[in-house]
Amino acid sequence: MVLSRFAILLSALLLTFCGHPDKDLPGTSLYYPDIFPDYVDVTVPADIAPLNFRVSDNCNALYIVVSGKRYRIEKRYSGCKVILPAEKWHRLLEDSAGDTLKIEVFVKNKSGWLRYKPFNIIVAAEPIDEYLVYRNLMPGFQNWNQMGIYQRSLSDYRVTTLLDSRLMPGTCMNCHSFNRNDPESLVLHLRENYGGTIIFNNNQLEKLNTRTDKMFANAAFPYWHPSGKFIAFSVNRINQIFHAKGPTRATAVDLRSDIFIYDMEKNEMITSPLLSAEDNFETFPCFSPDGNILYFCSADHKKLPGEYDQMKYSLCSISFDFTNRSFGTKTDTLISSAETGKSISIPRISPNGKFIMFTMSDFGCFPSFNPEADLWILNLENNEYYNVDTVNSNYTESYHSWSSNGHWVVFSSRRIDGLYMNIYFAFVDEDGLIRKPFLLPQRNPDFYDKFLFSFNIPEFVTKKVGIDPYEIEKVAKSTKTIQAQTGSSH
Amino acid sequence: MLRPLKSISVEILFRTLFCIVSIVFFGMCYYHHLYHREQLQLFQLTLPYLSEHLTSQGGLAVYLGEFFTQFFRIQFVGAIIITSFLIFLQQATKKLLISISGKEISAIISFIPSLGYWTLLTQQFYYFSGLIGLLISLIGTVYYVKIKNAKLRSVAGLLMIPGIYWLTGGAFLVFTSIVIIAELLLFFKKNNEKSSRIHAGILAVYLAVAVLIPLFVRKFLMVDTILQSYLSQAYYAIRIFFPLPLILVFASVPALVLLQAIVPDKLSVKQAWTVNSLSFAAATILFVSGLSFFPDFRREKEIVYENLAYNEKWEQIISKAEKEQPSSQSSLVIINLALAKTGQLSSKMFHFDQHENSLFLAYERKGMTPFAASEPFYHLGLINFAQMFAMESVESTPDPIFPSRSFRRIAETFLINEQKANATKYLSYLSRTLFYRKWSRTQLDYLDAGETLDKDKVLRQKKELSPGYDFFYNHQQMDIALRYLLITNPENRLAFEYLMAYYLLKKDFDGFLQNIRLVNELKYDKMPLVYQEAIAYILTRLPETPPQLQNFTLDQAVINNIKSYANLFSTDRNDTLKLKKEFGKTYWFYLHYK
Repeated sequence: MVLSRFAILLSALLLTFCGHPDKDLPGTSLYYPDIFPDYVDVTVPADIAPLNFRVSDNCNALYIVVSGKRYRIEKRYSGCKVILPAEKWHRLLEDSAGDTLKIEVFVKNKSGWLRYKPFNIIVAAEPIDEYLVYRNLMPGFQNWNQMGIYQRSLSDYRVTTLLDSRLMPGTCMNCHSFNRNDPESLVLHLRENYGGTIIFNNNQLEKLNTRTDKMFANAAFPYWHPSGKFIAFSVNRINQIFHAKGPTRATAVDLRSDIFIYDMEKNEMITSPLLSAEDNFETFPCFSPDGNILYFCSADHKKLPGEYDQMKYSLCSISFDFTNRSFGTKTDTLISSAETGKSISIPRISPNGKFIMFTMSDFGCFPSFNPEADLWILNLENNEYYNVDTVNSNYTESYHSWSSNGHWVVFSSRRIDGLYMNIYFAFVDEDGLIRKPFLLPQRNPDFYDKFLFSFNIPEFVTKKVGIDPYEIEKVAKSTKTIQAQTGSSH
Repeated sequence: MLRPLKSISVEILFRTLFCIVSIVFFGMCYYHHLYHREQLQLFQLTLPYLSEHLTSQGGLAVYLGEFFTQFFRIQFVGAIIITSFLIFLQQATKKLLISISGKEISAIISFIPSLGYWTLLTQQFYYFSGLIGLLISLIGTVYYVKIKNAKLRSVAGLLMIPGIYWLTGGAFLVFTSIVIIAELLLFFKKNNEKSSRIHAGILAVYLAVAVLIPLFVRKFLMVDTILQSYLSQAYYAIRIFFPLPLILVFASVPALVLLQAIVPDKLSVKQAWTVNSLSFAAATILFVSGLSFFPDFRREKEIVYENLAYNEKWEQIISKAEKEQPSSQSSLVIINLALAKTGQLSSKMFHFDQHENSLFLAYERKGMTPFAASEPFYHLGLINFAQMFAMESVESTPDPIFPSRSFRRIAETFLINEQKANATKYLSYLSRTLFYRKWSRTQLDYLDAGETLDKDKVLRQKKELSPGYDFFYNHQQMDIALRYLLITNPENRLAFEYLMAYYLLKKDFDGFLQNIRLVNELKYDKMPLVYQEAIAYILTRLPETPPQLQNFTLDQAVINNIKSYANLFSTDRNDTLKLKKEFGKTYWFYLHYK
């Protein structure tokens, strides 16, 4: 009796002064802890940066245990933030690749310690590409004074600048794209000051004026042909309309769009009448991994801007013979907007050619302002398409891309507050099933509360992009611009 | 030989004059520019904000500059702060010149850099932080030249060049040039017993460090233009332009050091008098020419209206406009808003020089136009449009500094739209400032309790005014927006007066007549004067009274007035001056001559 009382007293003393919860104590919650970012039951790559998080409870202290295959991390924190030790984290994750981590969270508040229901983090054996390239800009509409394209190492928090408005004030920089995630090939679009298209390929950095006499505007959204010899672009005339009511602040409307393909060897822009019809809108090109098919979105002409919400795009394709630059004589409709009643945009094909991920929204082809925009997958083997429920939310999910091994997707979402776009990753298994996504980790879990920029156009790259921003600046500001010529397809 | 007593008297006199002129200028003639600067920044009283600044070159100068600039919102405080720092600069210059030359100096000559910087500060793109940077640099120089031992001085120089570069940015060039000149002067000075000379090679190292360190930083620590890597953000807002006036002010200090070196040690009274007179003349020329070319008084007048609108001082806006008609469109937009807010738009709008588009500003990339553009939308209840302009204003600054005014307006619009997460984000920033934290913390408390629109009457009222239907922003068809506001809230008198003003300015009588019935529904005591004038004109153009006007009677004064106008118009229609003198404040004059 005396001994058991002593044991209880000792435990209580230990709890109070040593700050380590007795894991067998009562005071266990049946629920997962309310953490931000939400890492409960997510699947992560073995080389991801530490998933620091905060607990949303009022807590005086935290104790966590992260258990892997052989290693574990145990740490106490004052306050509500968990900052994981990087070295131990990486060792734990590397060792647990293909396995599962168990995370136990103990929260100390006025009533004492409370143990939450442990949650898992699955560590995939399949690696993720090393870097992510994205653009940061504020959620404005027409003007900007801070904008940049950056690359982030996914195994830590390092961010380096590819190009930034400090170097080129007044220049809008966007539509960066790589050939199959290869950092040795880059296309990047600049507008306003020093406008033009920057191409980095075969170690050469050049500036191109893509607008030929057959085009009504400069080329915009790019997609590389896998051979590296062609780049498909859409040519768009975009207008924004602003809403007086509701959370959708603006809608971008394509007043006109066509698709052209740039032949890099011959410096020519080619197209097909099926990709540049007067009474049709063609946009968002995407080549198949073998380069023989060009996928794109197409919509019938409507009276704009009044009928903007009746613009519904279908997912189409056309064959392309890159050996002789010829297009097919007809287009195929893979998913018709008449069938879905919705609009498809941003098709992106997986590296193995089995799946196309796309965004579906009620109308239009700029889904970033459509809260109902969701990610869908088309299985090209059986032509079935489905809503990727696991990654979608009540807010916009849009721009997405695949990792080089096809096992990870990255996409933008406004799910945190409906305004700012942030980046999420999700694992894709062999059957095209996508698991619960996780937010791009930051060293400080409060980062997203304070950051005033949106992340957009996330693109994986296999290695660090080695181009010096000053080289891009030099080429962009140079008067030496290559003028693309009009070519003809066969 | 200079007579110290007279020299001191001259200095005190000049300093007193300088202070009076500077305080009066910045406190009265140019106060609104200073207040505008405060709105263009968001200084946060937090440790992370300080450490963020200290991790970039020029950061300390920027931080201190922003710290003091936040007080510019209080009239005369900004003027006193600026004047004080200019005097500190003058004192540091004087001390430096005496320390290096060992001579008494002309009292006025030490004011030249301060006069130069005074002139720069009248231009909106030169930062107050630059003055602080220059001052820190000169203090460093004074400290450097006091070190007698050559070895110690060499070490100090090698540490201080990169140190001052990191803390103050471009002013390190002033430090470097002065220490090199000072060392060269020392080198060539005969019979020097006070300080030992450093090795000439060290000077070459100083120069090399000064040239290379910004390039090193640019290569390895940050991405920026070459100009900015030398200058930093502390000095000039427009990063692509070479700020020659700033460089001239920088150069004035080493130039004075050299000048002082060639002035003889001992001057006769006559020579001293000549030197002082020439210094005074030079200072006066500098001051007068600076005052002629740099301050933008036209812009000051515009900013007055913007600031008064920001603080909702409607009566002051009207009273000011009545004294002097503004010429800019943004000022007119604000005047019309003030008239509408005080219920005078429908009686007094043509007392001012109206244009077709003087109710709303179109979006244009011109300075901080979105500040003024947001105001009418906000007060009318077109909250999404107000938010749009407020977000544009964040990105309309020439530099990457967040404007507190924009953040406040953005937070207000998110609160009204009940978008909690976004409101919290912007309010959190404001809650870390000195002057906005009380309001923002109150709002955060309301937000947490879900009581924002219950507790804040102003925001609630805006919510009640906001449209119940969605439509698009179209600057060319603002009548549609105004009609939607009235449909949602038929008692929105502000929207009604704007709508009628819109039609009158566009000379759209169909639109005017379609909506005139609302005068009764909105329970006006009597038909507003401007509407009576429009009706009187319409009646002269129609054979019989249209149905929309049958229930209205006009004042006899208006009837008599239009007859007089018609008579004069028919005889002297080309004599615009005469017509303007008699009828310039009537709608009829606008109708025929605008």
